[in-house]
Amino acid sequence: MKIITQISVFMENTTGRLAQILTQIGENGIDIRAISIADTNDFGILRFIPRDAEKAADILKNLNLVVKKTEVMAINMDDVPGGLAKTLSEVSKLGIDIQYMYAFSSIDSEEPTVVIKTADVKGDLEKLNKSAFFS
Amino acid sequence: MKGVNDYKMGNYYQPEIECASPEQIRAWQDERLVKQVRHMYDNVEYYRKKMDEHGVSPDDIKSADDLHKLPFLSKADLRDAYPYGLLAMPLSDCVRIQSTSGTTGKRVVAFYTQHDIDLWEDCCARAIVAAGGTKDDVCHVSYGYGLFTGGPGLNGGSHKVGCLTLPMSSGNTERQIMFMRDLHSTILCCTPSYAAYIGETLREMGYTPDDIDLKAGIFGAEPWTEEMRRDIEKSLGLKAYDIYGLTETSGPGVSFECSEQKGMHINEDHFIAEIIDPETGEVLPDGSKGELVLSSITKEAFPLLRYRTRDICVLNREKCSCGRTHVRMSKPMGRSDDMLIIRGVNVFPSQIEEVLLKVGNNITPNYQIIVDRVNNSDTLDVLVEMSSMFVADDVKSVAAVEKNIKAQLHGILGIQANVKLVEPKSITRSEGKAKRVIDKRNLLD
Repeated sequence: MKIITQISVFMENTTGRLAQILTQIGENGIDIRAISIADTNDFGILRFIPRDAEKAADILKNLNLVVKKTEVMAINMDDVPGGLAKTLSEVSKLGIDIQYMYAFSSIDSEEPTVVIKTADVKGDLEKLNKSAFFS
Repeated sequence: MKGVNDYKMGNYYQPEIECASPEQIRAWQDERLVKQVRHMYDNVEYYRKKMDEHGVSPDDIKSADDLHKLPFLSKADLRDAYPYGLLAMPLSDCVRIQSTSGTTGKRVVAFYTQHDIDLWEDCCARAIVAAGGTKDDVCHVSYGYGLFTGGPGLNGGSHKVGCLTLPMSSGNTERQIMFMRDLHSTILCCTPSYAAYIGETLREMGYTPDDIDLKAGIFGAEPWTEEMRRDIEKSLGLKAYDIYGLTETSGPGVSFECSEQKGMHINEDHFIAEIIDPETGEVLPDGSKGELVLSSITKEAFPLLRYRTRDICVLNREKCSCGRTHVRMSKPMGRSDDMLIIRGVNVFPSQIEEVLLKVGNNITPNYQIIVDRVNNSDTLDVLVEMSSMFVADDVKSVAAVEKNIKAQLHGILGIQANVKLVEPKSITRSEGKAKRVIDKRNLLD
C-alpha cells in the first residue's frame, strides 16, 4: 500500500479529443501505468498514473492542457474473484469514504492494484496501516 | 387570412396632429422645447448643473434649432441620478413609476404624472389606430404587465381607442388562445418572440389562423427581422406592425408603423428626434445613419432632453402615402454600445465579465458569449476557458463550478444562461484578442 501521484486532465467531450491527448502523452515519452476517465455530456476528466508524475505534469502543462496532480492510494489485492470486493469492503468498514477508484492488474508488483481517492488520503492510509486486515 | 386587406387607409387617432403641416409641427416643437428646457433647468438640479458646466442657459434656447446646444443625457446619467435625481415634478404629483428590465445596477426608474400617462397612452392609441384599430376591436395585450412599460402602455392605448381590452400579460399560452377564440381578439400586442410562440402553440393545439379572428398585431420591445414578420403574419393570419419606445421616453409609442410599413412615424409633437455620430456627438443630416437621440418636450415628471438611445437608425422626412406628416425612423439597425437584448432582457457583456471575475478569484478567465435563436426563443451560451483556477480531479467539482457561474449569472442578468467550461485556447482568437460576443441571430437585415 502506498501513496502515489495521479495526473488528471480536463478535456472536452468531442470525438477524437481523447485519442489526440493520449497521442501527445505517448509522443512525449510519458509511460501510463493505469488510466480511467470520468465523463459528462460536455467534458471529461482523464485520470492516469504515470511513472514520473512531475515530468508528466510539466510536459502536459506546456501543451496547454489543464492538469492537476492528486495524491491517491494504491492498494494491492488478491488475484482471485472477490479480491477487489474484499479490499473495498474492508476499506469501507474503517469508515473511509471512497470518492472514486479504478483497478488494474499491476502497477509495480505482480499483484492487482486498486487506486483509491478519498477525502484525506494520508490520514486514511494511516488508518489502513493500523488495521488488522491491511497490516 | 382574415382582415389583412381590411384596414381603412386614413384612420388616425388624432388626425389634426398626425397630419399637421410640417410648419405646425415645427411650431409646436419650438414652443415646447423652450418651455421644457426652462422646466428642467428650474426643477432638476442634476440637469441644471450639466447645462451650467456645458455653458448653456435656458435663454440660449429660442427654438428647436438650438437643441444641439444642450448637453446629452445617457444611461450613465440615469444610473448616477437614481432614483430621484432627474425628477422634475414634486413626488406628490407623480402617480406611477415604470422600470426597465435588467439588473439592479442598471435599472431606470421613470416617473409619471397623470398628464404624462395620458400623453403616453395617446401615443399608443395612435399606434393601435394606425394598425386599423377602432372601438369595435378586441385588443389582446400580451406584453408583460408590471414594471415593464409594454403592458401598461398598450393597455392604456387600447382604452383610449375604446377597444375591448384583454389584459393578458404573457404566459399561459393555451389560455391566451382560448380567450382569443372565445372573445374574438382582433388585435394582438406582444413581443415578436411571443407572437411566434403563440403561432406555434396555435398549430400544436390543432388550430389554423382561420380559427382565430386576429387582423393585426403590434409588436416591439426587441429587434425583429422582416423574415420574422413574414413568419408571424403567416402563422397568425394578421398584418404585423412595428412599434418603438423606451422606458426613458415613457415606453412604447415613441414611434409606430402605419399601413405603408416604410418606417415608423415618430410622434414629433412629443419628441424631437436627432441622429448623431455616436463617436463625436455631431448632429447628422436626415438620411444619415447614426444614433437616435430623443428629447421629450411634453413629459412633466421625468422628461429627458437629448437622451442617447444607443439605437442606430435613419430618419426619413419624405411624404408618406398614409397621410401622416411626422418624420419616420427606420427599424433600429444595431446599437452604438455593446448591449444585447436576450429574451426581452437587456444584457451587457460587462455584467457577464463581472461574474467571471468574482468566480475566478480576481482573474477573468477567457470567455465567449454566444447568442442564438432556437425555436423562436433567444439562447445565451457562455463559454469559459478552463484554467488552473477551476481544475479538479473529479467531475462533481467541475460541474459545481459551472453551476455556480450559472447561478451567479442568473442573479445578475435575470435570465438563464448555458455555461460550458472549455479547454484553454479553444476560444478562437483573432489577432491575439478573443471575440467576446458572437450574435448568431442575424437580427439586422
